[in-house]
Amino acid sequence: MSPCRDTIAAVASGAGQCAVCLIRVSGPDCLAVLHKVFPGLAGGTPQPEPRRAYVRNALDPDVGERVDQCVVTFFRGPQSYTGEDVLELGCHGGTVTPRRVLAALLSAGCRLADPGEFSKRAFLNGKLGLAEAEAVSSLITAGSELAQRNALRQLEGRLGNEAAALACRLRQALVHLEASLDFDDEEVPSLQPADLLVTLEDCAASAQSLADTWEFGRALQEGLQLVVAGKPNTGKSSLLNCLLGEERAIVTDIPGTTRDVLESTFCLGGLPVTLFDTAGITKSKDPIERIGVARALSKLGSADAVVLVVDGSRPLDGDDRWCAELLQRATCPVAVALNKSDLPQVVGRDDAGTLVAAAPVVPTCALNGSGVDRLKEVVEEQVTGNRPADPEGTVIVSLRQREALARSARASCRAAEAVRSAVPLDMICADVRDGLSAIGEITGETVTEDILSAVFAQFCIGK
Amino acid sequence: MSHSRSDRYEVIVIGAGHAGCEAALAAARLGAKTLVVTANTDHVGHMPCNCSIGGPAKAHLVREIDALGGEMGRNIDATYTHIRLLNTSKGPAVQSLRAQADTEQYAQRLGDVLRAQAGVTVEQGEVVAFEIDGQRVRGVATSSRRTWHTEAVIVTAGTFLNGVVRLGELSFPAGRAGDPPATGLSESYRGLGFEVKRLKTGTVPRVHRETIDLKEVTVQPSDQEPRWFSFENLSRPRKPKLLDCWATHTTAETAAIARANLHRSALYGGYIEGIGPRYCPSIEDKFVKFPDRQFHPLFLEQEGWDRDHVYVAGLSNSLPVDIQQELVHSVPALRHARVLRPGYAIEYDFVPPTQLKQSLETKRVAGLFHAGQINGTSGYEEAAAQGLLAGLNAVAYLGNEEPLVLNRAEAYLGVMVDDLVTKGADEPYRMFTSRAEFRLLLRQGNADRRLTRQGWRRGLVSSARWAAFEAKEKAIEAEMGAAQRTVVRPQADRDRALVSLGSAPMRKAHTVAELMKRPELSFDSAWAVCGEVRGTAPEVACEVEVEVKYEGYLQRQVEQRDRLVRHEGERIPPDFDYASTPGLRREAIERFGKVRPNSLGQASRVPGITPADLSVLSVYLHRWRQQAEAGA
Repeated sequence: MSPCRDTIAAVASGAGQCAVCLIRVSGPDCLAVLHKVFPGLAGGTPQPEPRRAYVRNALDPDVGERVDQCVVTFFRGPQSYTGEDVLELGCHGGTVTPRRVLAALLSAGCRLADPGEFSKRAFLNGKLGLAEAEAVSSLITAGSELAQRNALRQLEGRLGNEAAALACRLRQALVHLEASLDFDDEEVPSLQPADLLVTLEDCAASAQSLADTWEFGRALQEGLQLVVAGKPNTGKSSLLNCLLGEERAIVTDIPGTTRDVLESTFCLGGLPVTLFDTAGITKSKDPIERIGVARALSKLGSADAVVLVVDGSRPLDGDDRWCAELLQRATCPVAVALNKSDLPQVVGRDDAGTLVAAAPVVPTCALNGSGVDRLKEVVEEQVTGNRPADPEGTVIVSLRQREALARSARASCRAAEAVRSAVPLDMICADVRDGLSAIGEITGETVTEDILSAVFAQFCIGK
Repeated sequence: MSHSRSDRYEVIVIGAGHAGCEAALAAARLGAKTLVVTANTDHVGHMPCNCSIGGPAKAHLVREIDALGGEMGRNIDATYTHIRLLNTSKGPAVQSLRAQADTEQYAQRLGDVLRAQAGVTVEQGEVVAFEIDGQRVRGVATSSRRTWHTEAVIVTAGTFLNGVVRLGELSFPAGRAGDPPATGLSESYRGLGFEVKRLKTGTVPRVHRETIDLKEVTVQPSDQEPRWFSFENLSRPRKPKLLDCWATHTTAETAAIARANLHRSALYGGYIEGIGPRYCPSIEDKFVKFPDRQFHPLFLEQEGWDRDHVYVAGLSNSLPVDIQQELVHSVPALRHARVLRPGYAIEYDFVPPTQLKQSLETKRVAGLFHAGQINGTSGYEEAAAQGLLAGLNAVAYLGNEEPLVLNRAEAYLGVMVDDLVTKGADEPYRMFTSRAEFRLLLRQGNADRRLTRQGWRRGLVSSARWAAFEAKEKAIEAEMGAAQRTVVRPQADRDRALVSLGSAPMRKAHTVAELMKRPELSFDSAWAVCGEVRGTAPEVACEVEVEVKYEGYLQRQVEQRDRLVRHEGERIPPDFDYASTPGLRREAIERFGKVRPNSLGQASRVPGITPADLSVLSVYLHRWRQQAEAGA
């Protein structure tokens, strides 16, 4: 009935045709399961040697039939990933074998694991910190190499370490504050407001800059949505194919070929990007076209960036301007692709530049691909404007972390402001405590760290 | 004094120190027939250590005792020789009174009040055993084979349980210098299955007042303003003939003597097993742990108007008497001082307070309450506050009523009891303001606003006090309204007044409350800007000013408090089976099983508990409740 009383099993490696597949089992009944599915595993001894690989036949205890030959490794808790007893089975890959081995494990009394349940158990058993547990999930879902590297760094505890360092500085400030509140000035060195101010401002800045990496972290995590929009027949679908480097969208000379929103993914500056091709936006009366336009418009609302495609070989018209007007209201960055640059141009770059304020203009030719790389560069710059200076620096991966960091930064800011306006120390102390406890939420530690212990360790107190 | 022939009492209090006196007074004032058994009827309300009452967090406790209807505030007001308001520049939450008592008068008055209290009988004797019937206490027995019958017992044994005084290589059993220890009770506790552990504390040498060189001290005079602990005394004028306190410090010579004789110290010679308080280290400790500090401050506190004894605060030690003489003489002001009494260390038994409920009743034996040093605390104020609560709750127990339990956002007393029963005491527990997470709400200035109502409901607060309190509340409300409603328009004379107060001129109309928010303006000066003298009582003006000035801070703490209250509202049934809660670590099962927290909030404060343990517990409580509801 408990998440941790029963023994869970799941295929740990990906599905599909592959040579080997890893199945993981965790929980108190691992040994019993082992003996049922691999009878006589350790040559008659009741327990296999931990961390040793055995090659054995797997039997389904319900039907008594051999299902596969596996490499079996037993990990004795707490020296295991989840902190419980764990079995790792390497069986043959494919679609049928892993399923049959898993069925054998379920017959032997396992329950199918919920998504993320192994990591959850690792967290509950104290094997992973909260930041690390979140990293495992980002590691698995990482959509690009950069995202994966970041998640790996976090798994190694880098965010946890940075948070701990921040907490350490705040705690130190608090120790001085608390000491001066609880003890006479004769007993503890008096607090220097200038020093306190420096610490608080530093802590606020560090917490805020970590919090600000969320925008990039979210992009890493969830990917970005890039929408290609414009009036009909400006070459949006050709441009999309060009950007993807494959023939994804159907391209014809007939205006309005794309009726629905098409999507496909590619990698832009290390970020997973989902590219959306939309129906041409026009004030058409055609009912199908109108549905396409409605969908295109709704897509614009959720876009992280938009490429407005304009046909440079034809004069700008009302539909172009209507599109531009819609985009003007959007909060995301917009780039203008002045397409069909192979044809004689009637729209100047300056004219195109007036369509959407501050939007860069890139002449492109979707047919021969010229200007497309430049367009990618421009869009990349727009969407990764908040990329941290150090591309390998710590980037947070959850909204929870961002909120905690931002809360800590706000508290430290309030405290610093209070120091500047000579608010009494007891009030300032309340803000510093809030700042510290918010950081504690990142590492999953509760901030009941005994401040008094630190006071006694640092100051000679007492009459 | 009532001389009852009968051997039956409703409440028996063991000990007549600061905890015992408050406990007995509270019980008797609530109508219980109360017996106080003490080792020495001449030492009621004795101050065996320093002569001061108050200081940060401790003054807060005294005010809380006073608000609940206890005696300590009145007693120190009647007998103090010196008083100051500390931390005046550090903020309203940590401002605290500290007074020095005339120790003889303090004890005399407290003893008189106790003996004069209807329903109280005081007897001399050493209690060695409890009479237990099933799981309930039924009486106590003394070493002279006397027994008294009762329904509730409050033990306030101080440092008497197996007390051993240590002075250098010398040691002898004693409850404190001059009194015999209580040797039987610890065994009775063990026999009943209680865990009993050992702590250490100490006191300082006393020197003769006339032998101090006053040219070598810094004089700390009493405040010029009237200062009083008890809310009923706040309108009284300043007390006349107050004494000074004298400050001085140790020298390089003091350090050299202490270091050269460490092997002769009871503490460093390896004679002491009990753990001493880190906040009140012996002079040996100071020199060993902080070798870089050139000198340590000392405070010379006069023990009374007519008393020669001066307490040398800061010189606590367990060195032999001859070395103590040398130590004292190494201080310039004490070069020729005569040592009247040496300092000493004392080790004693305590009963770890994790064995108590929040009402201070033991979990093991119904009707048995503990207060003061037996719970591992130190300090007169800590002891008195617990004594009051134990007295109140013993009477609640007799009447089968809900005990008074104060939460961490209501009172320092609530913080202390919650800390004790949840975390226990690894060293003597002293109250600090930093232990209170809602410190801004727990001011000494608003203790009456936090607790008078509770004391009134329970019957400890007199009707006169209640009427005065209600009048004060009305005045605060009226003044708050006036400050918020009164609009001040910019005018040349007003701007001049502002500038003279170091404040910026007004650019637009302000309410008086808005002006009061300026850091440089007070209640009085904000009103003065618009030419008005309110003549408000200082304690009313002070409350209004704090609430107006720090509104944002207080509001944030109120929000945090509301979150706490929700968390505390998630009750854990007393018989909750931690051992069969799957997924709970063995260590967590043990710790929860020992403390038996009564809410998820308290569970989160149990030491060594991880967030993971709490999430598991929370999931199970939730499931348990669903099943209970489904079953019902």
